[in-house]
Amino acid sequence: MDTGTGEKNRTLTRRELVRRSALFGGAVVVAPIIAACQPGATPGASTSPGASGSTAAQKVTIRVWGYGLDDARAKARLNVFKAANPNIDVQPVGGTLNTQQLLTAVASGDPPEVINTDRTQVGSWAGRSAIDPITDLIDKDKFDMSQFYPATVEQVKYKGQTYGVPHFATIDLFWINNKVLSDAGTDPASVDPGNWDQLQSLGEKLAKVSGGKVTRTGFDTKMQDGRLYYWTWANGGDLFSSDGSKAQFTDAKAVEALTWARDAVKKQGGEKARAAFSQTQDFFSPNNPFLIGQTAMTIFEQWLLGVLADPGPNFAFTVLPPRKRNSKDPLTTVTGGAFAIPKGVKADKRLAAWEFIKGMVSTDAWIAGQKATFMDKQSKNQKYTPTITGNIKADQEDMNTVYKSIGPSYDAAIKTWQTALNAGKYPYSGPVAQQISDLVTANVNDALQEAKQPADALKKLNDDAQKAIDDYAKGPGNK
Amino acid sequence: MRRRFRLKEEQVAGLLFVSPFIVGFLIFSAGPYIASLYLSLTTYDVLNPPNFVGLQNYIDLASDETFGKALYNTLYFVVFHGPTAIAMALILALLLNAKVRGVSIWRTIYYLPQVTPAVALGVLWLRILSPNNGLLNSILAGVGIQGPAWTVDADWVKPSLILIRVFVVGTWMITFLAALQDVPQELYEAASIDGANAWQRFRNVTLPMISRVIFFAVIAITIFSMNVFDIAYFMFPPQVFGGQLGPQDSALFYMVYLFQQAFSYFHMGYAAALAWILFAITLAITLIQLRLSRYFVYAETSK
Amino acid sequence: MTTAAKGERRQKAFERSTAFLEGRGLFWVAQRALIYGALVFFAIVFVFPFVWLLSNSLKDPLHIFDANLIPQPIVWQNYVTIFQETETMGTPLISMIRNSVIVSVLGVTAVLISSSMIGFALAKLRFPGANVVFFLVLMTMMLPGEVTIVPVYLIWRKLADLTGGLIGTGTLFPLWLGGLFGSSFYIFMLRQFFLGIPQELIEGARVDGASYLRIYWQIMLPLVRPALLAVAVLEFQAKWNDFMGPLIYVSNKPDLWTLPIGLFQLNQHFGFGQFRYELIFAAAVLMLLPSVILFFLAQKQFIKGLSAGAVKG
Repeated sequence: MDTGTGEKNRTLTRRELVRRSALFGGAVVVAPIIAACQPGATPGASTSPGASGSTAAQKVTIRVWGYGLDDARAKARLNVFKAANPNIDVQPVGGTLNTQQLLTAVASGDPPEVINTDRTQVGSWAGRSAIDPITDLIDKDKFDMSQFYPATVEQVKYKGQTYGVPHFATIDLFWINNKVLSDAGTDPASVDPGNWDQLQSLGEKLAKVSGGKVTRTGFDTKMQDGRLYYWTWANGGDLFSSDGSKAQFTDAKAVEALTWARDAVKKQGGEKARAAFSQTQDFFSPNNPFLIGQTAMTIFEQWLLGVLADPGPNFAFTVLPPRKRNSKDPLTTVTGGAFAIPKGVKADKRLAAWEFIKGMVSTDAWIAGQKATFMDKQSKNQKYTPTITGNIKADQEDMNTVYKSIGPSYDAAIKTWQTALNAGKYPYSGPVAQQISDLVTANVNDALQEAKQPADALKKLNDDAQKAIDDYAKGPGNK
Repeated sequence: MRRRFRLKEEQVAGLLFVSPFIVGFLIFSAGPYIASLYLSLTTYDVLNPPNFVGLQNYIDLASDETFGKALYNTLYFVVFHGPTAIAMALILALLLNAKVRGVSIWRTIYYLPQVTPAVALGVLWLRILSPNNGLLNSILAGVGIQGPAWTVDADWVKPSLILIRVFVVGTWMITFLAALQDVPQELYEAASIDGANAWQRFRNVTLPMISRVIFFAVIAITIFSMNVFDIAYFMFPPQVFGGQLGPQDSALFYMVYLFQQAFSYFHMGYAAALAWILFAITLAITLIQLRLSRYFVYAETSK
Repeated sequence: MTTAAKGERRQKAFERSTAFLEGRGLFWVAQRALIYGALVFFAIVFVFPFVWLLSNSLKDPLHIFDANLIPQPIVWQNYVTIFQETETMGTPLISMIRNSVIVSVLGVTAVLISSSMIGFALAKLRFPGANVVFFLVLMTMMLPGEVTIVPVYLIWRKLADLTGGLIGTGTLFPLWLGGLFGSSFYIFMLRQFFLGIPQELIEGARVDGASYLRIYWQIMLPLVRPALLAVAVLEFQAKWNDFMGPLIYVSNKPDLWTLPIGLFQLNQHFGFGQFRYELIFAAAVLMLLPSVILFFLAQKQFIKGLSAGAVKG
């Protein structure tokens, strides 16, 4: 399912990650090195061919890392760009953006001209001067950043400067399997994502546990996969001070959220049983656990739609934007990728790189990509579901024109995206993002697995996170 | 006069013969090692100049809980992986040495896991060890044992990895087999005449005669296991349990932690310090093993 | 029939009936049964991953990982598709195989020549600094190379600058050229092997006027052939399966991808959520075949190579 090959690596299910990572034992060795992995998008069209006029006479070659030509969308976008910019020769290198390789390339003064990176990594690259700000280029062309969703634009900023251009977006949604709920005597329409007591008791009621084994998860908070941010925000708290310099994991709202999630999973057989159950599931298959009712309700990303579409076109489910607690106000996590220009790229190539980036995220290129993907799917007799590109106009075009109705549940689900996207927040994306992200999941899981009390786990998390921030402040590379 | 001349030529020849190593060492080892030793005294993120901090990295290690955990996990692996792997390799070698038919087929079969791409092994083992519906726990259930949650329970993750590794012993099996075939047949005959049974022959003839090889295996496996890396990623990549390798970091090995510090967190200086500490520990263990070897290794008088 | 004859026959019958007590008797039979039983048991366990891999490489996406060891239906097409898919990816499988062969063959050749030369000198020649060299060999075996990745990369990068991109990063050289300087483990192993060759052979050849190079090439190398083969098998596997090297040095040069890196990229090529395990597995089977065949053919020499070699200390 081509759900926009952008940035979902970070947000795969655990099960899927196990599968994916187990592929190539050797390959997997590099997992830590590949901090930001972006298989990905493709070149696109420049909306302003005139801008490349300064380099019109000579052919400029630019290398783009983390960006392959693997699918129809990627090819179509590059073709649009090529047509508008015959003087720029693009050498895309697909697969994952390898952190180690990029580090050494930048350090040795021979970086690629463009990288496609995870947005959470932008602060890390910027904070270490591995990428250059592009504010001057944006100003030069009066490039309109408001064509992207607000949260995605905020996330590519570091210390007041813009370092990247948003490229794909992924949002969390609240998913309900209608049949499972109806069978249990609960009206799916009565579920309120903002009512934590209801979620917890419904989770317990819908779960099936026998002999220590789970055969159905009632409600998956996804706390184990880094959703501490969302649940804390929903509870009215925050994990960092607004400038990102102070960790606030000991915030009572965070402790309450984690304790609530721990209790929720405890009432459904416990975290270990949940994890063991998840290892029996095949996420990317006709036996998707949500589709076949092994998961009754869950927080999950929008691209799950693409997984469900082919095996379950008639599947009845309900999708809601996640909410603030005890409120109808939407609130969700938005993640995704970004194009950026490494430090050390020569001036003429930098201009060409900028043209490339603009072309790739332009509405024309995106729409060409969507149409090409639609045709490709059609030729393979597969269902097409929209992608969130980050470009607001392109996305609306996609949802309203390119997408052809699969079923009422699908149509309704897609209608929630806009609401959620406008209520998006993103996790810590400062210079020690990888470390913070690792610390969050490690300590949260200690609490979920009941190796520690939530308050103790968060205390440790807070200390370690603060230390990581302070160490960095003393100088990059400081431990 | 002549003898002096010959010696000189021998010296020149010797130096010429080893010159590739010396050149390679100077370019690809010495420089980088010195660089890494220096970096261990700095904070360094590759992109910005190193900042000299003296022994601070080494001092920080002392209070780094994760470092302790990683070292514990690694030593645990070394202690249990070494003996199990050697035992398995030895059992296979003994079986193959028992004058069986089709020996080259058996050998190739036992060697297969050694060359099977990890791509397959990782996916396969996750399926076999899956707590709820895996093959292993189904077999155990068949004989009335409730199998553990291999891949989920922090206490069982390391045993799982050790179990997986016990099948990848092809090279050692061949090594032991080679040693077994070197044991003079007369020794067995003599032992038989003295009325030794199979076990006694193994204990008193085979084991002493191959003790050197076993010892070599112990040292080599220890060094390799101290550097164990891929096996953890094989089944417990950090994304699976967030930043953890296995539940509660139960599969976080030393080398993995080192890599994390170097390439995920950009702490090159700290990672360099970690590498030198690992070297010191490995060296110490190897020296102890060498010292102990004299009690266990049978000294062949002459060949 | 005489009583004597009767007695003899009785005696023979008795001997026949008790034959199992010695030689190839019941005890022997039981022992053999036990041995073969164990062999078969282990064979099943050890061959299972391979059979499973092979089986899944012949399934269609809907049946992948199902319980059948014999696929229903059998999809031989996967082995054709793998060539087509890599073609669309931009790096044909043939090109990956070619790169892997280049790296493996050159790597094995380089390491064989250099390590045997060095091992020979350390074992058989007296020269100043021999002990220092030997100590350095042991040391490099023990020091984890990981932290030197960056300095070593920078050296190759510099070489690329100096040679205008002929050698260095972005070429296949970093993947095998290091072999020319010998590899500690093999040097150590071959040194032990050379130690077992009588010194008199060299003395004799010297008296006959042979140069050291000739002694090494014409007398010594043939004697250590099994050990060289063992090194070749081990090094071939190491180079053939090397992932880290290609990842660092050629992953941004698709035309230089070797099999492991190519298959890794192929995995991503199918796009998010489409893992196409059957194709990855088909490629994995193709990838492991050379190693298996090499081992099968070389095993006798391989064992010989190990038996008199390093492991005897």
